[in-house]
Amino acid sequence: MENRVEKLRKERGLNQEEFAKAIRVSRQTVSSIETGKYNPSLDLAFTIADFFGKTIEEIFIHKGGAGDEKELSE
Amino acid sequence: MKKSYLSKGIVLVMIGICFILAAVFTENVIDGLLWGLAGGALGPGIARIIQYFYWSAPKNQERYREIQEQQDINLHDELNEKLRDKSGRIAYHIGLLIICISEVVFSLLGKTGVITDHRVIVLYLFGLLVFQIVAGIIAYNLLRKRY
Repeated sequence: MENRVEKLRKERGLNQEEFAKAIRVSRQTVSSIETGKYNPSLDLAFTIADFFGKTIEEIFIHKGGAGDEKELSE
Repeated sequence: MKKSYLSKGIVLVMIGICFILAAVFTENVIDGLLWGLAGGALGPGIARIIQYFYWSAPKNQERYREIQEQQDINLHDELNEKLRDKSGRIAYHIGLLIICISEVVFSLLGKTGVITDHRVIVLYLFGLLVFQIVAGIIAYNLLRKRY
């Protein structure tokens, strides 16, 4: 799964530490999500989406999913 | 800082003092153990009391709030929780493996005369092995009922 967390965070001018504090997770978790080493739970994905004022689908891209196939065929 | 932190410290100190008194005023074979228990209760008890007064001071309260918040985040952080679960599972499997190997090693050491009365150790290890497996199954079933 890919995501746009790092990009959105930088657009807001936040460092990992500040962003982690805002969504109440550790800095390591933010780092792991951004590098794609860890996929957040649905709960955390909603928290992140809410923080950026976007939907989950706008931030997290599920590679190989049905939506992805549709996107490719368009 | 919560008052309960201080009261737990005082209770620990009192328990430590009781152990010291028991060690001083009784003469028995478990003196060493009593002194050890006294140290084990007094040390953390005194540390708790010192920590309470240090962190309750007005100048340290903001820093204490920050540390508490960070500890709370780390405790409930989902990646940390996942890693703790995984490491617990790995430790459980390693523990089982070590017990199984130890059973064989102690049996061999006993049979070759290196250790006398090896049966107690082998039986103990077997009991521990059974306990660990049963405890794992019970813990799993209890957790399963929650979901």
